[in-house]
Amino acid sequence: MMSGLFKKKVAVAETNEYSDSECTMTEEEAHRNVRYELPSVGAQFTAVYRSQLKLFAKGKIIWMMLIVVAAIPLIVYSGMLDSMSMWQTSKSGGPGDYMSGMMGLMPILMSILPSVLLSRMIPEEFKTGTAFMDMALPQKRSAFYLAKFLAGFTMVFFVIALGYGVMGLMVVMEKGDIDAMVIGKSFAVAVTSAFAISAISFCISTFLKRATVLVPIALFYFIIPGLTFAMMLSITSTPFDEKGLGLLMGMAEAFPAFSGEVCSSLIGGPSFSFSILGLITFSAGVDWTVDVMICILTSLIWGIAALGIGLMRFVRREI
Amino acid sequence: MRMQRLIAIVLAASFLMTGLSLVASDSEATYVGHDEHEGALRVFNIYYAELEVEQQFDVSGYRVFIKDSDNEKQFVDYVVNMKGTMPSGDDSSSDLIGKTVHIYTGRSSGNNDNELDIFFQNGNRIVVEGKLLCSSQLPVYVCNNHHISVRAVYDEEKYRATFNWDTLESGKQYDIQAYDKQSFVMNMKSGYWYDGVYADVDYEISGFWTPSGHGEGGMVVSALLIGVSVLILVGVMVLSRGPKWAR
Repeated sequence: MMSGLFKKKVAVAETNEYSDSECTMTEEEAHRNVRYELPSVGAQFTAVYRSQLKLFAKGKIIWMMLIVVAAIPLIVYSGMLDSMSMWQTSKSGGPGDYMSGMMGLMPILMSILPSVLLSRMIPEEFKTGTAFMDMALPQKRSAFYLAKFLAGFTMVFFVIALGYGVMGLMVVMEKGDIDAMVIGKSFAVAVTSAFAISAISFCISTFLKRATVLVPIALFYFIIPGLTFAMMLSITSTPFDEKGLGLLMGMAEAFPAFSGEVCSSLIGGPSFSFSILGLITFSAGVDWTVDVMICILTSLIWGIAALGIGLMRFVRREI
Repeated sequence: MRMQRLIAIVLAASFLMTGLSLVASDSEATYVGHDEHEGALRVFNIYYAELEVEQQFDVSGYRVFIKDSDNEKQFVDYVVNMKGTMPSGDDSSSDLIGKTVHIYTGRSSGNNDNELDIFFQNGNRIVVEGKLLCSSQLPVYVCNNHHISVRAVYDEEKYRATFNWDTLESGKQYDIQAYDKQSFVMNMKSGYWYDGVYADVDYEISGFWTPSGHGEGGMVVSALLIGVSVLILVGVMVLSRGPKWAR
């Protein structure tokens, strides 16, 4: 990576102190009288960003993500959903209900996708040993860290944008035009929540020696929803009374762990989703009514805080 | 260097298109969400018969108005349009001879909705042609898998209120879960129909969801999002031809 991270300037030789030697190499080839300068932080950032995207492009991850998105119309049009009552309700409702019905897997995707993409990069750098080479270079660790994160988040953003676009077009074809504001709100929450989940996954990975995607998935898909449900049961005998629902919606606004359910319910009802609380709330006929702006703000705060903590850890990490 | 510029252009275009898609999302289309209904409730079917009065009569349990009188307009406006107040009395004590009157009642003869029984105080009874002024049923609500809160305030000694065929205790709030798309009907019935054809009822229903997402601009936003993602994909693919050292 060295040649990409350095600018090279050939200085004019003031003295010809090597002229008597038998060396036939030029000044530049012999690195004589050549002054190397560190490129700017921006250039370092770009170099790492490009190299990470190249790694993604060479891997299978892009194709896997394209298959995931392509599976949406496949599942809908193949008739796999036709026997499910929730799908019948979605089909007979408005355009928003139809799109919401397609978003049942959102909670799983919102947990798995950022975790898979973001939580492996740093530990694998150490596992494969490239970190020991990269870290030794005279480059800003913060540029390295943030560029890696941005590359991973670019991929996450790509999948979310493509998924929303494909679903939106399917809805327009099947049910007529859909309200742009409905998609816009849900998309904004999805992107900011994905940013937060990505940043937290990335932050956790800086503390781990071995790459594991299970920790962030467990955290967002099982632990936080499980704890929330336990808290709901502890404060009220029936979890879906006013108190219980207030707690659930408060948690949904405070943590991006429920973003799949929230994004789905922002589009329309029924907010059926494959998650612990998604299934329970669906069967109880509960609405996920949250403040969109609070969701976005808390996600941004979580994301920035996690990035900061991860950066502090990464900068101080001993090689 | 050329590659870096290309990447910068691709990414800048991606963010620009994302921004455009968010701007486009601020279109004027309105989001149909929770719907709350408040107001007076039409109690039950109200029929009326038109009679030419030849001699003064006396009835009980009916509302009698001289045709097109101010009192009648106020009554109809209140009952049908839910506006204004219910007139305190009617025109039955006025001189009705030679005038056209409308007699309002809460029930038909039982045989036919177009027939009304009019019972006079002197024991006489006539069956006349009637017309339906308004229906007792509230609009039918469509609910998509959500819950509904219902509260009806009414005189329990005279009436019985039902929501989806379950009795509603006056003033008490009920949370009703809906597990699938279904219709709900609210009814008020009187055990003593002759006590009146109206009642002041305060009802409150919240949590209704109408089919959502109707609006415009979704096509544009979807196309923009797909455009953004294609640009990112192109950018990443271009980068795969990137610096040789990144292997």
